[in-house]
Amino acid sequence: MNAPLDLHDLHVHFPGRGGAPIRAVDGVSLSIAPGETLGLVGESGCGKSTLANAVVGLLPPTSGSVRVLGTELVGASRATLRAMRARVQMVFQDPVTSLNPRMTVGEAIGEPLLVRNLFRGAALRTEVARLLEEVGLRPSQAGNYPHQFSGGQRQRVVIARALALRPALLICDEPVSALDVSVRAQVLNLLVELQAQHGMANLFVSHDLAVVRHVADRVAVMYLGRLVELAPRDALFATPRHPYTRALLAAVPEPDPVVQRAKPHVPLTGEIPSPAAPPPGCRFHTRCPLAIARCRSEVPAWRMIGETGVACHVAY
Amino acid sequence: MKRISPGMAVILSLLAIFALAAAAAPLLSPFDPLRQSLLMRLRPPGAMVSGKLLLLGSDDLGRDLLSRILYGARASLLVAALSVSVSLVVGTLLGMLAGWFRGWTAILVMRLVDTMLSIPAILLAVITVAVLGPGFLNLVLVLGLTRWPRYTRVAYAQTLQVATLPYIRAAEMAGCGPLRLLLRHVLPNIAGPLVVVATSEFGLMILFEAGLSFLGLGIQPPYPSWGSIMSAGRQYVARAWWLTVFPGMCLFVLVLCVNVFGDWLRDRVDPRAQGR
Repeated sequence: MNAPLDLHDLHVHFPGRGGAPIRAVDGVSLSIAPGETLGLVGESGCGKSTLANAVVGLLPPTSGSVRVLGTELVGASRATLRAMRARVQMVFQDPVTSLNPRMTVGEAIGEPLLVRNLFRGAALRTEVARLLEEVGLRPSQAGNYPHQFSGGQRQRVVIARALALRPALLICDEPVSALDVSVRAQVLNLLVELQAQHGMANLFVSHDLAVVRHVADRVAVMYLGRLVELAPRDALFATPRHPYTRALLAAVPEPDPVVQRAKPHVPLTGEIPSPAAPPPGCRFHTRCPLAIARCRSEVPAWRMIGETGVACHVAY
Repeated sequence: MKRISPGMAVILSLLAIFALAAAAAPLLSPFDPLRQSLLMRLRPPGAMVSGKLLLLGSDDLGRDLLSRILYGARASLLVAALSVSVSLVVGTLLGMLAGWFRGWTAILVMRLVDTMLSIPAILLAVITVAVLGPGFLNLVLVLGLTRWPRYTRVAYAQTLQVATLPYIRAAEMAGCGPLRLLLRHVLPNIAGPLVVVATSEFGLMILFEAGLSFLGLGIQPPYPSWGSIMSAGRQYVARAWWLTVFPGMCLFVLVLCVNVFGDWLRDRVDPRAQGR
């Protein structure tokens, strides 16, 4: 069986002001197995949302390969892209702007089914009712408009719309960051539950490590357009290899003050450099506490340490 | 729904009266607006002629002014409604296409808009009517096809903004084609400001129609229009004030009502004004 998602050396560049292109995604390779959740984490501006948008074909990749269920999407025809989009669906960050305010939630959920001629009339209404129930809403709410729902409920509607076409791959771009903390867990649990039921693979983009730890099987860490570490969840959280990953984990506050005080303090200094002019060698060397001379000139190759893949000269 | 203030209720009922008067002109008119009678020339308002009341008097050809004003309302509203529809459709379509495709489409459309807006609209209308010849259809086309750029600007700006929203991307993911995206997802979300522009343009169109008819470039005699009634009455303003005052008042009150209605509508559509 083909992997739901297989990226090889993916580059997404934007034309920058005054010549140098902005290298939002600069050579990322990864794959997701059926039913697996891959968490993709990194700071704001590291290219994780760009990657998500390129995977679903909303942004054109500059070079490299995006294979969804074995079908190459880079350079694919409109018809191929449209057919593929039925198999890959997306949950967006902001549930307020991801629903058309002038459409009832029933229309929104039914739209993918309607425009692809899968259901119509009474059968469509039945299917929409079923989807609403599946995400924990009442079928009677189909005629309501998005503004009549709370943030958490709206995200449930967005999830129902994404599920309508029974995708093989779900892309979640910060699906709970815009929600109140109190409803985050509900929406996350719903996602995990539905994913297990449908056997969907999931690319889960987030900057929140606690959330990723809750849902992901494997975690990929991105920095300035590149992957720096990719490891099974437990390995990553127990023994982070890359100095950037360590810094990220150290920055997560612990609820227990004793644990918090005992945590290693790994401060990162400076700002994330511009993706239009990334530093040579290892991109992290400008902020890395462990950087050596080699890091400034030589791009670190991807290597495996046990189950963990890492791009670093000094990691062990 | 917000409550409607008493002042707005007056405006809305006046608009309803104008619309009703125009629609039911044949039923409400006491006389045939075209029938001339030399025996009842320039009678003042309230005069009785063979047992029938000339409520607003008669004109220089002995036609009943009330009947002519009622039929004139018809001409004004019909021309305004049709020309606003033409420019709304043309302008919105071009603006949405420019905002959706951007690039060369946008440059082409928006430069055309700038060109159109740099020509005084009334002058353009006068020249076009002078070339094409006056008449109802030409009037509608001229007004409609010279006034679309305002809609295009609004539709362009709104489409640019809406097109970046996640629900548009979601609809694309759902498999919607460009036509459905524009009509079902973009259009309903940019319609509010466009309706507001259309309302303010409606008042302007009534004035344009009256102005062009006054100049003899609009509705042609003997058919009545407020502008042409005033134009004919201009010569008798010292002897028969009612020929200019009554249609003028109608024009003033109607345009005022339309504009106040437009402002009210804008306040309701503008999300920043919500809940105030």
